[in-house]
Amino acid sequence: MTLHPDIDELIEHARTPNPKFAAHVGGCSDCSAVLGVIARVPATMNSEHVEVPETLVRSLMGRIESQRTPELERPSVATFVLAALTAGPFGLMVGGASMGTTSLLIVLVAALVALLEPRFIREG
Amino acid sequence: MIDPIKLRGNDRSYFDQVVRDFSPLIYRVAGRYASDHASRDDLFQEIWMHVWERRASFKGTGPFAAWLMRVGRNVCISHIRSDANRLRREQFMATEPASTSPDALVTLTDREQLDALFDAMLDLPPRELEAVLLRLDESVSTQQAAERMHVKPATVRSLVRNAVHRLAVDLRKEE
Repeated sequence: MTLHPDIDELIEHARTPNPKFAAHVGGCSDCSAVLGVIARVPATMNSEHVEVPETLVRSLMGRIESQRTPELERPSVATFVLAALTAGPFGLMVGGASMGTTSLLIVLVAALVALLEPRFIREG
Repeated sequence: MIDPIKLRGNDRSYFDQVVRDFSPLIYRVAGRYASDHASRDDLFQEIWMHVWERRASFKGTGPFAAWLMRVGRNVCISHIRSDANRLRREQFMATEPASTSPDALVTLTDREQLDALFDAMLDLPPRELEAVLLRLDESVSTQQAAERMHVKPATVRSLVRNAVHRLAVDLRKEE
């Protein structure tokens, strides 16, 4: 009794017929059925015969476009340097040295966060 | 091959190209579950919107087509369940062929068999479908498929063997 070829051997046999397996596969309904599936899968995945209406694709692209998140722009470094230079002296004037330093630090931390991940600023 | 990082990004031209390349496949999936032409078009758009929203979940370990088919099938099943139009679908399937244009290269019987196989493939477990498409459609070796799927070669063999046997049984039922 001939053993069934394993799955790799059957796949190879479907691509390049191997005389070693030909007699067995021809007489074995299980192996023939498996070979039939192996041979048909590439044709099954071929979608060349399907025509998708162009209007449908365009309408889809319009829907996707309307949902597309606009490209997030990172705030410029100059903006935050300017903000820090303004916030520092302002805090100093209003509340003294500690408040000036605190204001400066807050702006610098906000700048770092915004530069690393702008979504925090935009999306909250 | 689809680059998951580019897919995840906001590159309009890249996603548009993906839509162009894979729309026939999605259209076929939608056609297998639709009750009429309008419903097929709705499903087609619904599937793509899901793909757009969930594109970050494609990790690139298996074929993109397998991931698309799974997303498409899930969207369609959820649609059928919620829409309660199973009866209309059955009536439609009984009266109209699923494909949109005749294929000059294959006979109707061949086309029907391929459609039946496509239906059966939609019902395969995700890992089996990935393994089958890698080995049989993309023609990569067992070793390469194992590396892509992060499993052992023996696992790939087992997944392909189980899937192919399942498909063969389903095809016999169709005959």
